[in-house]
Amino acid sequence: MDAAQAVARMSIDVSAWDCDFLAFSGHKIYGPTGIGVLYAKHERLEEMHPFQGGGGMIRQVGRQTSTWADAPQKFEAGTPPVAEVSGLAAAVGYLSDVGLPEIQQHELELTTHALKRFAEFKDLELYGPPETIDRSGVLSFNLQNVHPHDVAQVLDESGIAVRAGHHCTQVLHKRLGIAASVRMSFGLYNEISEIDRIFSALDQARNIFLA
Amino acid sequence: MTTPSIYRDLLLEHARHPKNSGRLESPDLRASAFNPLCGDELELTLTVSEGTIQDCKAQVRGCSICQASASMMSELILTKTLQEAANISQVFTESLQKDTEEIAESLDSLRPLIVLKKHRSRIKCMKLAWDALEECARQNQT
Repeated sequence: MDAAQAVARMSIDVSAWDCDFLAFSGHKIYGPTGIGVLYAKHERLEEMHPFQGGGGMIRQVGRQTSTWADAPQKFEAGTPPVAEVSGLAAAVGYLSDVGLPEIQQHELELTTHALKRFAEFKDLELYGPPETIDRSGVLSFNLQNVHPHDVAQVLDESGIAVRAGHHCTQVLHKRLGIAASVRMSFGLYNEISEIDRIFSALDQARNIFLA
Repeated sequence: MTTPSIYRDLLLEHARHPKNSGRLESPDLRASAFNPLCGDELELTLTVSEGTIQDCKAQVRGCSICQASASMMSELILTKTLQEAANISQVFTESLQKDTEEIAESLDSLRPLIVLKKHRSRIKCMKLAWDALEECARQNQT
């Protein structure tokens, strides 16, 4: 299970889901880059052999045979990224303190407002469901006849950071028949007024590129 | 954009009404360039006689900067030799990498692009047409 997008916005219950593996990355939960979490059922870890040798993953080493430490240590060869581990723990603590239900509710309010604003403009093409059901606070769209990179640049100049491109989904973009799209995604620090700022900045983009 | 408006207007004019846009029917040289980060595509077609670029067209699917760069490039390289065009491309690339605001006299018409070099993520957009030009020059050598 890839929970990279979910883990900062909804509670996850690996036991109830009965999943063998679940992964997420640190930088998507306000934590450091270069670190993440892989949850695995104990019996799955027992079945697997180490993929890498190094410090801390052995039990006994002989000339012909060696034995490995118990899981998960047998998969954690070498010096761990200590600073990143501390940073990730702080990020998890921070999210727990704020509260995932509160974060989810906040994101729902932002998404509801954004969807309402999208519906006002005929020249904005929003991809995905038009309702908040089956949606999280990640909205990909295009402004008709303006290239996503140009849209992103104008938004950037209004202090709004979005991503433009194909967001690692070239196949989906081909299916949609578009070269690229703009993507806004909300964090727990975002406010409704900032969403309105996006739509004002889109007006500027219209003025610059379509006037 | 925070760029002086005279440059912005020039750039937008090229983006909206690109010069030498499309494909030549029987080109001597043809090269494509692709930006995997954003999906932009460009095809450059040239006719060349005795090493000199006679005609040039670029088919662009890209942002305003990518389109404007192709348009400005086409104006600059027409009637130049492929070697001269490749040299211009090299000086252009160097000027995008330099920290100074100084711009070589031969690149004056590209000033609206070069002033945007502080937006590092857009340099690939500016370079796409020139990548295709350099590929054409390489094909011509072999």
